[in-house]
Amino acid sequence: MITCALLAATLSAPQAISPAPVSVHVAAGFPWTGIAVEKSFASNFSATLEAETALGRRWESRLQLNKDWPIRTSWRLRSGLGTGWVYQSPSVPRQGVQVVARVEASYQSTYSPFVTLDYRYLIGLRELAIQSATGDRTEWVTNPYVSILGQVGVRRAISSSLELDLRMIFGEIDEVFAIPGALLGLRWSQR
Amino acid sequence: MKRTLCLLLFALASCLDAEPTAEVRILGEVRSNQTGPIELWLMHRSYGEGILKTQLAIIGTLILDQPGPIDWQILVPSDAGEGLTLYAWQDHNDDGAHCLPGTDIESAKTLVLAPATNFTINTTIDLEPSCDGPSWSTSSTP
Repeated sequence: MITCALLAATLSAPQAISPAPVSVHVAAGFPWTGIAVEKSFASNFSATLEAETALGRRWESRLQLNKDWPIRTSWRLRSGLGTGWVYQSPSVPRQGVQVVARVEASYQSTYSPFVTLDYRYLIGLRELAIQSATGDRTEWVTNPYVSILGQVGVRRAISSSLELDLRMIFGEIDEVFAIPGALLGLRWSQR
Repeated sequence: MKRTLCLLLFALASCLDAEPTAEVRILGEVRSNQTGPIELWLMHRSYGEGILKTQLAIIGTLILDQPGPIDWQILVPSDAGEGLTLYAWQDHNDDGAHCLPGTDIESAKTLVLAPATNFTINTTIDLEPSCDGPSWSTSSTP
């Protein structure tokens, strides 16, 4: 009963930071560079439009719907579900539709640490121009690829509308170990 | 802003060109005086360009239950990779591995395939006792 009461109190606690109506986040580093535009709605929902690239060789864009789950006054859990397009060339050509599930936990303080986990499922699309003994034809084939990426970082507000963040990113891209990366980001929030 | 975002989405949704491939049929026989399943690897002899160039890139694999005839239809990329090599190894003891340490020598063979004629390659591969993996330097042809 005590646990239930604590849980109820936790879930009904006020949110520490009210979300900005619109925010823009740019990040640059190795190998990823990206931009994200976020629009907040009522009931802790938000939509994010993201575009990112790894050294100009892999490009990902996605539209994601997020839901914030405030926990106590300082903790925030965010879940997100999105879909987008992946394009990669030239050394390992790849393209297709990607579905992304994201979970992020963060602690609101002067230096706000956060951890993010992405599960990305890519439906790789390949167009084959086939020459055969019976003639030429074209076929589309699909190949599934799973990427699991973790991010660990820290955010620091530098003004009422600007926030810096530093993050490490690591995991697998298309089921292959990816060299860990680091990013420096800046978020502008409409106030 | 809406217009900019839409343009960005479309810009990223570009498509790759179609990959030219050839539907090749490999006909022939795998011979061995031992029993056990046989795994066939069809490979490009070389693949890629510049510093990414590599030898023996696998195109596809096929498992036969036992020595016997091959009738394998496979799509071979036409614009990436040169030459075709066929590697076969036999799992005598059915342990799923080739020449696991502590086990007897099993059979294997690497064969450089002749270019396809009318999308067909005829070959015969005679397995020999060997624990070797695929060999790039092999010069044997059917």
